[in-house]
Amino acid sequence: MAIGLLCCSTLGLSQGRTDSLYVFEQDRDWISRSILSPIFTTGAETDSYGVLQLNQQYDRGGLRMAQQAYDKRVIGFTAKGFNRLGRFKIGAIFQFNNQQEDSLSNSLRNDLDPLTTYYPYASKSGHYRRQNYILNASVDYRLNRYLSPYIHIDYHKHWTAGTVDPRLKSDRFIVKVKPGIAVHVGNHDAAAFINLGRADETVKVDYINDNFKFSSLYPDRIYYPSYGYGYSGPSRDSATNYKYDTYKGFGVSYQVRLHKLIVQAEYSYEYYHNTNQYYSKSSAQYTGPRAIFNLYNSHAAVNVLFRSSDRAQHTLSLAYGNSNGYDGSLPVTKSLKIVNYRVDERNAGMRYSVQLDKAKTFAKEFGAAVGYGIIDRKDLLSDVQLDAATLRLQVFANLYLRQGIRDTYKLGLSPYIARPGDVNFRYNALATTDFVRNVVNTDYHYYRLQKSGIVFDAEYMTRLFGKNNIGFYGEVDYSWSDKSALDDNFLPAFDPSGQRTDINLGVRMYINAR
Amino acid sequence: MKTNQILILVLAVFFTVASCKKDDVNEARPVDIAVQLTVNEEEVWFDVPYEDAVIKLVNKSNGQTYDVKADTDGKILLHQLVPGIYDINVTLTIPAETYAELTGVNREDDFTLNYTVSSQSFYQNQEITVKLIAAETVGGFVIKQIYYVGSHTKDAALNRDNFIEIYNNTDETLYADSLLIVLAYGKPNKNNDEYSLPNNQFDWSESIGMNVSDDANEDYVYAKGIFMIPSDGTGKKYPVLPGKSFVLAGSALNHAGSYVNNNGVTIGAQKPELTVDLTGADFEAWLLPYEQKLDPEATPFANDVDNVDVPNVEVFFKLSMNDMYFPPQARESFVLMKVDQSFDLNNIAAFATPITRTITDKTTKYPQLPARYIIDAVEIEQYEVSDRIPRRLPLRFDAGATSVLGGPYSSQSIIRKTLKTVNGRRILKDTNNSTNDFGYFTKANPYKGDDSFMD
Repeated sequence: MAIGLLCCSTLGLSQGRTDSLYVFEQDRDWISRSILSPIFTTGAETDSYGVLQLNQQYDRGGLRMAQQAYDKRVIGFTAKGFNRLGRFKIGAIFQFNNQQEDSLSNSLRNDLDPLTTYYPYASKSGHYRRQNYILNASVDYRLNRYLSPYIHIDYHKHWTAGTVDPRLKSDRFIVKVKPGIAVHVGNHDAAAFINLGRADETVKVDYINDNFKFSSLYPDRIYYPSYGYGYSGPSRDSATNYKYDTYKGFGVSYQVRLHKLIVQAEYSYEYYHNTNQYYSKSSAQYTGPRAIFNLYNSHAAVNVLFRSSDRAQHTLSLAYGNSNGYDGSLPVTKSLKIVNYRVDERNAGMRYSVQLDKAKTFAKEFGAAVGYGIIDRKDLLSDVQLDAATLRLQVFANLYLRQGIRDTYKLGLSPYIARPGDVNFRYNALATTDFVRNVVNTDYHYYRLQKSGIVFDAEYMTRLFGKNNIGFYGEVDYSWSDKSALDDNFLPAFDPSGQRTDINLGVRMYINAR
Repeated sequence: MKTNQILILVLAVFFTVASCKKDDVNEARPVDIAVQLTVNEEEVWFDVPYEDAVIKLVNKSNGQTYDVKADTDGKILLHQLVPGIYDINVTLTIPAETYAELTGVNREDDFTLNYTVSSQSFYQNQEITVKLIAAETVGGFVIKQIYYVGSHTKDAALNRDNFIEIYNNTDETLYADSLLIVLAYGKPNKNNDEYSLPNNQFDWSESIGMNVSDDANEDYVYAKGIFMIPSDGTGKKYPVLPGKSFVLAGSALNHAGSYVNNNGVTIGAQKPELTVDLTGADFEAWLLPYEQKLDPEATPFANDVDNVDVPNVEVFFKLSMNDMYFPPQARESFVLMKVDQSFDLNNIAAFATPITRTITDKTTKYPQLPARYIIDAVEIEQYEVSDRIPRRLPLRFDAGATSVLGGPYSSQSIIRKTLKTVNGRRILKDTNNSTNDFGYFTKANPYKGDDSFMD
């Protein structure tokens, strides 16, 4: 109910100087970043923005990582927007989605924290359902000319359920509160916040069929806990795991508005502390965590918007992210202060686009993006390491055709290529578990592939009824790879090469107050 | 006021950042283990081809199995091993022809060296020595099949259909008279205490009142059940022809059909295909006479039904069972033995487990049986490594262990493999290493036909 009221206040009362129909991709990206920010809408032409979206996604194909489903279908609903109400600005993004995944193996866990460890896995492919309710909301209050205190709340409720033995049930919620303050001085705006959050999760693995539960005749039905990136615990170990996690961090953001230039910069840092225990905290048998995982996330981004002339607008985005984590595990090292698993992930990207002839019947956008990512995961006791680098290059072109005042057509085309950089895999024959064979080895083959792809998207925007615009859109992302070079002596769980098709169809309602 | 608010905010940010500081942590390291294979040079005086040894390491924390090889000097270097507790099983089979070349001595059968250690801790770099034990067949009877897991708890017979099959593995007629089938007892869990051996099994030498002069752990087994094939005093009442066997059933009934138990209740299997017909068993265990020796007014247990057409074994001891039940969780091992006249089965020394530090009239004591009487023995274990408990038998009688894959109540049995067939008579594999000697049947087979062998 609270979520609904918040969305209504954000979207339903949208009153502004412009429509919510942002036709151009460049503009959509820019406004989306502003929804929850206390400073990025300062000085903007927009007082309100609201979009409702209903979409269905089909993602299918053999080009995938070890812990990725062959087939995934998502039905999603998104409501997002912001509104100014006197001294208040309220922004919110609400998302609900229902996912169906098929042929997913070696991952009896939710899909929220891919870098963590301490989860069960079984090589049996199964069918999973997942649901997410996500609300990100922000309220800021203009105290005076210079100061705007604000608070940002993230709420996420998730569950995953498997339907094949061994079947997973994961139930998790996350709440983060981010109070902060924004300072406005002339054309300069800056904001800082602290981040405090917690998450609780109950993970259960169960069998319906006793034959699978007790027998060793079906090895793919036996689950093992993954205690690192290769080290596995006893088969069918504890069927229940309670996670109590905390988040701490801070963030800063900055914006400067000049004549034809807007520069936005932001940086955030978050410390995620995950704990795992056999018993819930309310149990008399609770004795503290059996294993922990610490993850340090930092993210920085700079976005520049520049209007070089009446017919050309440029954007440049630079982003860098780093996640660095390590574990501590009583079952592995008898100590929470001795590390067995380490992960280090770094991503850097740059994207440039130019928008031309915005006011004309035919408008265009062209651009290019480059991204470079490195991931390095180690299991020290098992002497397993997989580090991989990937360079991704993408160019894109979007064409917009306006017909009258009601109808707009968009066509987009975007080829890309992802080339593997250094990919190194080390494992020890004396520590080779199913996890190393099925997950690490498969991902190693995936990372070594050169992938190519093309994204084609189209949207038809019109005003069918009332004052709001409707957009019918579709997007197809087709990717393919070269053929894997498999080592017959150490085969992966499956050949991760081939093709993958991701189709996204939906309808959007752009809420206009006028 | 505003200054204070800003100051508070700055301090909050500072403490939040400070609390995100990374902890000081150490990194885990794998270990290097050097293993040296040796033999008792008085028994094995020739050059042993160590490089032919089959060596298995099993990580007890996760069940991962590793096959490693030794060099010609018997050295094995385990580099970057995951620290933990391991079971080690070594088997070195020297073919008869090779044995003759190495020793100049002809022998009919292959020569086998074995070694097993359970729960060996490897938490730091270390060197260990493994002394292989020569496997020599003691007697002509071998345990052919054990059906210890029972069948479906609701649709079949639970563990009422347990049986064990004994086989004459020689080329001459043997007599089953006075053979003992013993359920060997040991620690039923993995608890560690001060009265345990390095492999975590009870250290029976610490039992109160233990007074044997030899090794209480290596030279004896401790029984939870003792059943003897009856005899008429001639020792030749029950001949077993070469290549033939006899079956001892808990209850020699048709568990795949129906029968009336001692409470007058008709018992039948909903899924008869999951269980067996034991009316053809050669012997059965009927516990009432034993119970009545202890208590003359004892009444029969509900399922301890006597099939009068099948001879009963003599029961010398049984504990915690209402019929001759075998624990499906592999908590006991099986021993075939025959004692001589110097050993009084009616007056067997018995001892409490060493963790029992106060002895009363109600203390459970386990009969102690000399290992020198063992003819054959089979160590049973859980298939899941993490569920395994300490082994019970001295290594020289079974250097390995075996299990069914289906787990409790899966209708499966362990079955000794056929080594070869000579003139139509099957000779079963007997290297004193059950890991190598046994396989399993997906359904137990007590009917003694050709399909009751694993060829």
